[in-house]
Parts: sequence; C-alpha cells; structure tokens
Amino acid sequence: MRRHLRIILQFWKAHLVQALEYRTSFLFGLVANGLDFLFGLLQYCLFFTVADAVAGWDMPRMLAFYAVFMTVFSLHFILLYPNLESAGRLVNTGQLDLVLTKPVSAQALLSFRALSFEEFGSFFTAQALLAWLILSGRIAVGPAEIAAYLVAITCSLCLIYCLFLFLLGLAVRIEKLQNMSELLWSVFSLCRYPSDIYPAWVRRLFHLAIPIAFVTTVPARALAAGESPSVLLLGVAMTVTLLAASTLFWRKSLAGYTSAGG
Amino acid sequence: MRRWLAVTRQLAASYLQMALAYRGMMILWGFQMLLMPAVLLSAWLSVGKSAGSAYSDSDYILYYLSMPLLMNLTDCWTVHTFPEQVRDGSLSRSLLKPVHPLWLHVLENLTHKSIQLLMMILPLGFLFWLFHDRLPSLDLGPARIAAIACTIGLAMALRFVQSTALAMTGFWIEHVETLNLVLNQGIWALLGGMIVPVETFPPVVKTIASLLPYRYSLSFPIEVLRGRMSPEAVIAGVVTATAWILVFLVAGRFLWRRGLRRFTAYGG
Repeated sequence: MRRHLRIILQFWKAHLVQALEYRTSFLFGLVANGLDFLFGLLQYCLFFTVADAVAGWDMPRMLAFYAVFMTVFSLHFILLYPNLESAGRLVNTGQLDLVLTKPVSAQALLSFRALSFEEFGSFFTAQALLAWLILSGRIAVGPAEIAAYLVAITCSLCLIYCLFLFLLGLAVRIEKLQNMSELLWSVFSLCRYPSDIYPAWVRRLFHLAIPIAFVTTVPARALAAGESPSVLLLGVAMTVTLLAASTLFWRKSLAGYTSAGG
Repeated sequence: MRRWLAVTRQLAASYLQMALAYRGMMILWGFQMLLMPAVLLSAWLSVGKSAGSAYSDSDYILYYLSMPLLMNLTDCWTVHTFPEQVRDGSLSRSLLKPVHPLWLHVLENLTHKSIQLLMMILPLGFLFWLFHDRLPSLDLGPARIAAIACTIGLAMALRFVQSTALAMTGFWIEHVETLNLVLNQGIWALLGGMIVPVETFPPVVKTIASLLPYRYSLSFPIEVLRGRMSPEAVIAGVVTATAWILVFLVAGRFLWRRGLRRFTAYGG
C-alpha cells in the first residue's frame, strides 16, 4: 500500500512538472475552468429569476447542490478522466502489457497514473462557494451535517470510481472505449439536478437500482437539507456492494486479456 | 461547376458511408442529446414558478422536446477536428483535394447529422407521443413554416461558421478546445436558452441574449414554432443572425488565409 502510494505520488509529481512546462496553457486552462464554473453559477441565478424553488430546493440549497456537483465532477476530471483516456490508448496499442508486467497492482497504476491539474480551477471555486454558503449562514450546518456529508461524498466518489473501474474492465474486454466514456457523461447529465425533479418511479429507480441519487443528491441533502440516516446507510451498503462487484469484474476482465491482436 | 458537383457527390457518398460505420456511437450520442433536455424538462415541470412566469408547463414541454432536434441540427465539431488536422499535418492531404478543404467539413457535418437525425426520430417520436395531449396547440400557416425553415437554416449556418472561425485559431494556438469551452459552451447553454428559455429571461438579460449570436443557434427556431413572437421580432432576429453569420464568415476567411500562409504541415 505504502509503496503504491509512493509510486503514484511520483507519477503525479512528473505530471505537475509536465504541466508547469507549458505555463501559459496551464494558467489559461485554470482560468477557463473557473469561468466555466461561473457560467454554471449564472445559470442557477437566471433559473431563480423565473422559479422560486426546484422540487423543494430553494436557491441557497440549490447553490450548495451545484457546489457538491462540481466537487464530484471536477474530482472525476482531475483523477479519473485522464486515466480513462490513456487506458483506451494502452489497450489499443498493446502497451498495457508493459503495465501488467510491473510488480505492482495494475489496478492502482491504471486508475491513478495521470492527473489533470487544470480542473483544480473549478474544484477550488466549488469549495469557495460551499464555504461562503456556510459562513454567511445561507445554509445552516452543524457537526452532524458535516459528518453525514463526509460519509455521503465518500460514497459518491467511490461510486464514480466503481463506474470507472467497470469501464476500465470493458476497455480491456472490447478494446473500444471511446463510446463507453459517453456513459460517464450520461451519468453526470442525470446528476446535474436533484433527483427529486423526476417522477416517483424514476426516483425509486435511482435510489434502489441505479445509484444516481447517491452521487450528488444525497451528499447535497446531507449537507443542506438533512438526509435520513437510513438513506445514508443504504448508500454505504450500495457502495460496498458495487465496489466489490466492479473489482471482481475488473479482475475477471484482466484474467481474460490476451494482449493486442490476441 | 459540373466537376465540382461530381466531386461533391462522391465525397458526400463516402462521408455517408463513414457516418454509417459509426451507427452504434450515434445511438449513444442521440441518447445523450435527448437526455439533457429531458432532465431540464423534469426540472421545469417540478419548479415552483414565480408569479408572472411567461411559460406554462405545456410551453416547457414543447420547448424541451424540440430542443434535441435543434441540438442535433446545429451540432458542429470542427473545433475538435480542424486543429487536430493542423497538428498532425493531415490538412495537407485535404489541401490536395479538388475542392476547398473546409467544404469537406461542411459535407462531413451534414451527412453525419442526417444519419444522426434518423437515429433520433424513433425515441423522440415516442416522447412526443407520450406528451401529445399536453402540448400547446400550434397555428402553423405556410408563412410560419417558412419562417421556421429559414431560422433553422440560419441556426445551422451560424453555429457552423462560428465554431469553424474559432477552429481556425488552431493555426496559432494549441488549446482551441479550452477557448471553445469559454466562448462557445457554457455561455451558449446560458444565453442560447438551453437551461432557461430566452423568452422568460428578465428584460435586460433578454436584450443581451438577443444581440449575441447564441440564441439564434439554439432556441430561436423553437420560439418561432411556438409563435409568441411578433413578426417584427422574428425579422429582427433573422437580420441579427444573418449579420453574425457574415461577421464570422469574414473573420473565419481572414484567419484561414493568414493561417494557411503560416501552415507548413507537420514538424514545420
């Protein structure tokens, strides 16, 4: 475990050095991401000139929701997306073999090798928005809410990781990943608004079958509106199950891997 | 001219074949294009509307069910493909073809979109059928239909020239996609009326949106279809859209000529 961490840290350091080589482009990317975040924020402001509340979420809560969404979304862009892109390339060129022969866990290496720094722009702006909402008292938050939020957001990130690992397994199996990463986009489209906006049967589906609700709605509600402990527990149970299932799927996929042209 | 037509026909046929090769991907893309408007429609139907909101539920239904069609028709990806061609030097190959290299992009764009449209008809038709008794009644005379066709054509042309003019900066800069993210994506969703219909904007924002190009490449044709706008407003919109198309055409042409002089293919 420690060894893995050290190796991944080395990779990240190399990425940072690489990113800093192209300083202007790096800075430009950061600013662009901050602006993109701002446009998203303006969308909600415009939204609330016409609406009073969206399915019971008033403006401060909706802003908290947006901050939570952007936290998950940007972390996925920082940590996972560059790896998903490069994994497709590795499989297609057969370079995956080189990773597999290394004496460390291929899963750890493939999951966290690359890091995209530019998305930190939207990550930090999201944290700033959240801090402002809490400090200005627009959403009332106590220690219980913070604890619930931390549990829920951890589940959320793990769930996204499950999907990522599942896609990684698919990439090894079908060697054509590009279409599959669209699946991630669909998930994020569905998470952009609280799941309360959907009809009751869809909402149930998103809680019990496809855990869409646990990605953004549950963490945001845990923080800003109070989430019942039973839903949080359900989220934890679901996360553990899916982590096990996706790890199993990944191992099975890798066991059947026959290298490029095989 | 005859030679040009023959070449164009051949190229269109080959792009059509290429588009058909990506049918699986297109089903996914089509699904994506239906998904976001569907999410937004759910949001708007669950909203506690402020007093004096210009749109009723049936307006939102018509608006968001028509949106995937407009998103598909105005879709443009030259911002991704053109700078790539400059970077890897394959632009040299297009330069050798007996038609203008950008014409290849137009043909590729149109063929892809028509196949994509076919893929969307079935699921979209199902959605329209699902909501058919909640749609507003429309009064579609020949003049209205002509206006809709005209604004759709302008929307397609506008988004294409706008994105392609931006793509031309790929001759100089590496990260056109980042520039695109700022100038063409979030702000397009915002002022083009994807998240909130332009007709329900506060007056000041609505004026700004009407002066900028984004509205005319997304929501304007749907607003014409709904028919709340006065004929004068429609004409003003058509004039603004045409003016923007000319601006981007001139800018794009300028950048193309300048860029081509700089372009030395791969490794230059």
